[in-house]
Amino acid sequence: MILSGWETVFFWFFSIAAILAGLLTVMARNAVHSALFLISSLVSVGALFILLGAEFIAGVQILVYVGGVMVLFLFVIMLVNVGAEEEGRAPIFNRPAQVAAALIFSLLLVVALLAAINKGYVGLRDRDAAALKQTETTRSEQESKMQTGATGVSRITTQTESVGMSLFTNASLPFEIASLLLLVAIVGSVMLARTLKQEAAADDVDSEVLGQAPPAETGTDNI
Amino acid sequence: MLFLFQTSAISVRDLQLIAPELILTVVACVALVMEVILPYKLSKWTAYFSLTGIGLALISLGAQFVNMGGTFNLRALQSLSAMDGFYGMIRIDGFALVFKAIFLIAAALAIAIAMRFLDIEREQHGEYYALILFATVGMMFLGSGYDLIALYIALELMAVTFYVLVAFTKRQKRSNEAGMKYFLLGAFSSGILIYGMSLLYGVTGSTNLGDIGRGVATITANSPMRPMLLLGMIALAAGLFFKIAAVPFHMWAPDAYEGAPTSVTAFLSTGSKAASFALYARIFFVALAPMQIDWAPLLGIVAAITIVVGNWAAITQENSKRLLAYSSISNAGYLLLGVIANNAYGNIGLVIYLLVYTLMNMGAFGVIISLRRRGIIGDNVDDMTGLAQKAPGMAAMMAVFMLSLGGMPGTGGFIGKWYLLYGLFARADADHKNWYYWLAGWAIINLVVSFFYYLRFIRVMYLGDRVADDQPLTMSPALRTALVAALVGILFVGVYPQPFIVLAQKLFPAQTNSNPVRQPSSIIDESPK
Repeated sequence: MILSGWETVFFWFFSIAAILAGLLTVMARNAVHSALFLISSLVSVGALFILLGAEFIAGVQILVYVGGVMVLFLFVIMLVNVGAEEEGRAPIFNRPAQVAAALIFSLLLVVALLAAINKGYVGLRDRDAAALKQTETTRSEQESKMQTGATGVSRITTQTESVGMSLFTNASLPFEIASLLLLVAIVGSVMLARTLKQEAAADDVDSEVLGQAPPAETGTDNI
Repeated sequence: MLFLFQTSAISVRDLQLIAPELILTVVACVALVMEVILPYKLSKWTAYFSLTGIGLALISLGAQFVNMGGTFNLRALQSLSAMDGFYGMIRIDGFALVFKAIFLIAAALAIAIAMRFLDIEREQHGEYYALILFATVGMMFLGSGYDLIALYIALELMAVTFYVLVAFTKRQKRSNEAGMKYFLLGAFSSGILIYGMSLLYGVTGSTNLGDIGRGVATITANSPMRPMLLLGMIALAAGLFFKIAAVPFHMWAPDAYEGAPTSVTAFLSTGSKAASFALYARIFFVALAPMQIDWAPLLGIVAAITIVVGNWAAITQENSKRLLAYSSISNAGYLLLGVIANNAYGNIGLVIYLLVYTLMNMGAFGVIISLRRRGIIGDNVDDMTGLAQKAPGMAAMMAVFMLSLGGMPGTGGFIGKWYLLYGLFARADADHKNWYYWLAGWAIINLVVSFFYYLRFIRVMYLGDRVADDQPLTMSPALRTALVAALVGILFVGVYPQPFIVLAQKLFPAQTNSNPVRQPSSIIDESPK
């Protein structure tokens, strides 16, 4: 894809913003700050989706991640007492050797990925040149047929419709399995978060019956 | 609106293809409701209900087998024709049926050995049984999935369920710790896995395994897309190394296995491992089949390291759950040999060894569960001291499980390992490469080492100079049935393996590199309605 004029500015601004905010998410000591940086990173990625012409995904990114998930994150962080880490007493990194090894490996991975994708991108572009051109012409043809929105400038895309179509045809099975996944996540989190009292009330027994499990002896050696 | 007339989104035939999974899902949901309705004392009904559900799923699996042209008269059995469903998302073939049967057996045993155990842990909740069933549903979709999206979601369904199950005895610190460790590393490995999947999708432009296989075949050694493809393959392999606990990605296994409730450990080490190997086989035998020459050395090196590290670390362990964790790591190395071989014998070894491994590990953990009493954890090797005097039957069963894990002739473990190694030799003959022989020799040498720690259990049980304690074992009818079933299965495979070999041969034939052309179906339908 060749960027033109303001698109280039748009791209560089939001991609640098996404990377910086992502870095700050990891590096911020305060958990609330981390979450806020993550929000700005996600918004930047959403802006990049618009540049790609994927308006629906951009909208979902903002609505679901920023609007839903991150607000819940913030609630949890504020409700749960984040102690020592926030005051900056606990060291973030364990041992220099581990940090060095992790850095070396991630550097290797980044270099390899960048090299491979750079090279592969050219190859893919050459291989699929005809198909890409075809897609571009059909797409512009379709776009010219679309209805214009109320502002009279932008056109109403049918992307949402095609996403919905594929969600209920091609991707119907993974879609349903994902619902099972969510059910398991809910059941699991409720089960793990219940206190002894709540558990006893739910099972309608004396809390003696559930009681404290026998103390575990930890006779283990670490390898 | 037009699409309503164009397509019937899901047909009844599609639903028939996932009938066993549907049954299990319904049973699991009902089990969740039963947990709320039933009084605490009747919690075990949920377990029996879940077992019934697994039985029904097995029956419907058998019906599928017959529908696809299989017969239970093994002499007349032909190779089954595969059936695609849900727009190519799943493929029901012999491979899927075999693995689904293994998962169902593992789930049934995991429920049977847990019933009494959860009472002792004072964690008798119906959610346990429901979660086991949900994990099984995830595994079964891993067995039948034929598309990266379906496979990934199914993998996550299984993994998320296991994160919860590992932390199930939540009032014990070590269970919590194990759950957290497993969760963090599991999430990390899923990230690596999806990296690989995305690169593969980027190169081939499809998420369907067959399409990917055809796309990969067109990429030559000098193609500019080749580095991307290699990176994708390596990332996929690394993510799966995590899931099967192969060295150097094995660090989570001993901690998670030790901390988890013993019945969950048993399921984790068998069902989850079998499902990960099903995923391995599907991706590497179908999607990456043209790259066999690239991935075989990678898997070979990892298998060699895994076998030796697992074995040598197991020798020094005092805790029997940790010991079995390292044993399961080394067994993952042996199972990888079957993936490397990628021929008819390797496939037989893979299927039979996974089945037998499920039985013997379930059995071994079942014996450890029977040692559990209030106040005594019973998971140290020393807790078995003098078991032969206290409970000769249990000791004999444990001895058989251990000998089978080591690969003693006459037990199922021997047949499995024999075919795994034989597959490797056959591959070496076919490819004229020497390193296959070296790998097989290395595996055989380490087989001898492994006997050392398996025999330790037997020495402690039979030659112990004292009895650890004279309290009776914790037995329940379900646990006893499960142990006997596992024992019978192992001995049957060991003594009369012919039906299993025929079944494995017919249901899981060696994949040929030619992928039949299928109607393409992209995920996002670009054309306007």
